[in-house]
Amino acid sequence: MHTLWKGAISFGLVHVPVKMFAATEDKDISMKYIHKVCGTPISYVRRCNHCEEDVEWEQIARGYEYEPGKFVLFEKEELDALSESSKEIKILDFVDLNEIDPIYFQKTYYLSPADTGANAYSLLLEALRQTGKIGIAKVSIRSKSSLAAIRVIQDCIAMETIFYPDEIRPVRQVPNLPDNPAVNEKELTMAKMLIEQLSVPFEPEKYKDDYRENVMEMIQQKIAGEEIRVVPEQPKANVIDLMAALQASLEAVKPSKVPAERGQPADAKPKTQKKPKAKETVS
Amino acid sequence: MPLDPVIPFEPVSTEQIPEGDRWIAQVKWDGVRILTYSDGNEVRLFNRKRHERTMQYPELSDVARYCRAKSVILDGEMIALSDGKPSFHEVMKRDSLRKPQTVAAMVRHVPVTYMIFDMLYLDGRWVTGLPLEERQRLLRETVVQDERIQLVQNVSDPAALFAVTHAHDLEGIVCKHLDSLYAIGGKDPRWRKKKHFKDLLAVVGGVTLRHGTVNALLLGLYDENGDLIYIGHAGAGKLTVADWRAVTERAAALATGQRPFRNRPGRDKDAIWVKPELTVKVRFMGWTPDGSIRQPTIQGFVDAPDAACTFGQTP
Repeated sequence: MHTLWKGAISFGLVHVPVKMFAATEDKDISMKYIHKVCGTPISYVRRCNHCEEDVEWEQIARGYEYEPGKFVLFEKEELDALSESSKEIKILDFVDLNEIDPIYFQKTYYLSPADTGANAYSLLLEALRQTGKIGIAKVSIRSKSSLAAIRVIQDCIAMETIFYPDEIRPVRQVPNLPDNPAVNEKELTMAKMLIEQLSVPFEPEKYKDDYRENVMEMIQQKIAGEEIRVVPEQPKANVIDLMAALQASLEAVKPSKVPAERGQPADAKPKTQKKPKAKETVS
Repeated sequence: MPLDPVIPFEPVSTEQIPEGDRWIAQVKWDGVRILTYSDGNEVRLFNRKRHERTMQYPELSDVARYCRAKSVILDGEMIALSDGKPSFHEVMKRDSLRKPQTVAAMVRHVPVTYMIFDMLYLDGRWVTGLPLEERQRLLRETVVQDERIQLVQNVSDPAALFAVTHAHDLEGIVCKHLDSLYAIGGKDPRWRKKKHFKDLLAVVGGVTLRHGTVNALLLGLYDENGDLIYIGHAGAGKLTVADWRAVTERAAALATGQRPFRNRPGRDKDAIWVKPELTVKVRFMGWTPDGSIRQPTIQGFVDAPDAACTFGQTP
């Protein structure tokens, strides 16, 4: 696994050096945008409509639009300077896992002990396990600060980034929720029975991404049926063109001495396959 | 195959362009020297160090397509163009292939042209004892040119060609005497090259990073005592972002706390030292009075031992 970040978990005076890894991966089948006409992948340009030119990254700042058409600009360094120390996962409190609604969870990372941290790591892991608590921490990764939950998954400490409360929309904003739900007792009993019947232990292995499998299968079919588009060759510069350009330059330098003296392969224009040279430049 | 690979004839470097009507000049095509050996049954390609390159250039294996000979040894330069000009870096993308399964894709991505300039053997006999003029006549009679196979052309005015190659930003010229025989394994003034810049192999002794990726290489050469001497640093050159990422990985594996250079480079504060194992071909305009190279650009990574990177290496 590829290390995303290096730093330390701190709580109280305890300091646990760790490395961070992504715990999940996105398996969506990625597709490129292709120009239908010729089969070439579309390239994106960053373009300034005012200057009518393509813009390099060095020429680009970030701007916050505080009112339409008006911006305050920031350099990346200025924003970086505002984020707190990015080397620390600082545990603020410990809570019970069931106190956090799953809506808060964002993304999961595994943490492993960094070179010197094995003992402190094991200590924290065992303490979390025996108390059944999870730590609520503040962390900043790539200049963005997040809230995170530190918990144990099997024999590994994991970090779930969690949303700040103001990032979660209240349920009352959802339209059409009934005010005074009236439920028929009989129907409720039936529904509960049905739920009972369908209840099983959670076995994630039995669920598959059917859509992804279908797409993959269709990809294979298209390849097998040669229903494929190949990027057209870029017109490559040709050595014959270069030799002709050299010849033209030589003629410009020495107008009187060309063409060829002494009947060398020289000085004659390069030929293509259809015109074997030997026939034409024999001295 | 009965034809054993030989070491090809090499030109010496010259400052003076030779004069006289038996001297011709040819463009010095910037690529990889490749000799093609065909004994009638089998075709194999070798470079000037007699390392086999048959797999790397499958488009040349069908010699019968471009050469009307039962058996032949051809000598030439394999080139690949980038921005309309021969690029050593580009042709190395082909020359450095080691996995047969990657060759087919690269044949499409990096087409090469074989610039043939000599013939050593034809239809069962060595022709190295014939004068150049005669060997060139045989070349014209046997080789059928196309977009991928070209004969290097003679120009009767070496000085004019030198000026033209400069204007077109090419490497330089090779002057050859029309009466010269082909000396296998030889290197003498019958062939003389004059270049617009210098090339050498240098070893990487340190790198500097920008945003975690290598952005410059600190280069060194070994002196006669075997000490590694810093000669300058080189940035992007022909390397792509992907190349730099690969360099970053290799540099990380070679990192060491110890400065490998005897002298202290100007940029040593930010430098990460690496064990001197990575070798590069570097092009530069000349030497500064304090022994650094001027305007160096990295041409590519080469498969050479670091011991080859000496002040004494032939230019």
